[in-house]
Amino acid sequence: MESLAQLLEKSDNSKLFSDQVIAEVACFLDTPEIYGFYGENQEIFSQLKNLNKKSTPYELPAKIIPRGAYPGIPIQFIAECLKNNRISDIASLKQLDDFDKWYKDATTFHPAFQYIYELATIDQAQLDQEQIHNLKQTLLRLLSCLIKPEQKSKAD
Amino acid sequence: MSEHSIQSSKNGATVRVGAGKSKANNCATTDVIVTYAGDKATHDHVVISDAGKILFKGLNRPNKTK
Repeated sequence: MESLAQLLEKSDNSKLFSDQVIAEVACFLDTPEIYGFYGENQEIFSQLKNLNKKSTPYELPAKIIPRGAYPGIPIQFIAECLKNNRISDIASLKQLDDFDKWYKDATTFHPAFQYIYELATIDQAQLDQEQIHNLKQTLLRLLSCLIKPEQKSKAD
Repeated sequence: MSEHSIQSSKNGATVRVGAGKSKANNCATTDVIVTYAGDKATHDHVVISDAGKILFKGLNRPNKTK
């Protein structure tokens, strides 16, 4: 496993959003007793490391079911935006009444939500094709932290 | 995107400063992370509360014995 110093340096020299989020999450994982959400941050780290390793694009399950007691409205909204390639529309989550409970507050339900919202506010007009592809895959992987994985039928 | 932006890089030491919020301590925080060129195993990480208290001090220097 790469050290925090290596991950930070890689992020400095990378134009990929997945590398930036990996380094940021690694900083929080370095001090779990301060920032909490250790399991959630580990999941983000793992998902984005998998994104960097695999060339197969991640696809959302056909039916989006939020995990546990996570709020359904923002999760369904993010999923719809990603399915329809409307990444910048995700930023309108800010208009929802409960946004302040989910974003940068002690009651936030999962740090993946923070990263999804912040990445969605990036001006895509300034990005190249590789960055746009990486942005969407990073968002999909982050969203996968908030939903139940697709159930395989017994026939599979 | 990254909240830990580079504030200074000189003589091989790079200092990154970030802002956060500690759920456990219910306070705003400042993170200072120092890395050293040529020693990728080493970093120092200090977290300071908005009241000026050091909440975390992690000095990770596996290659230094003194």
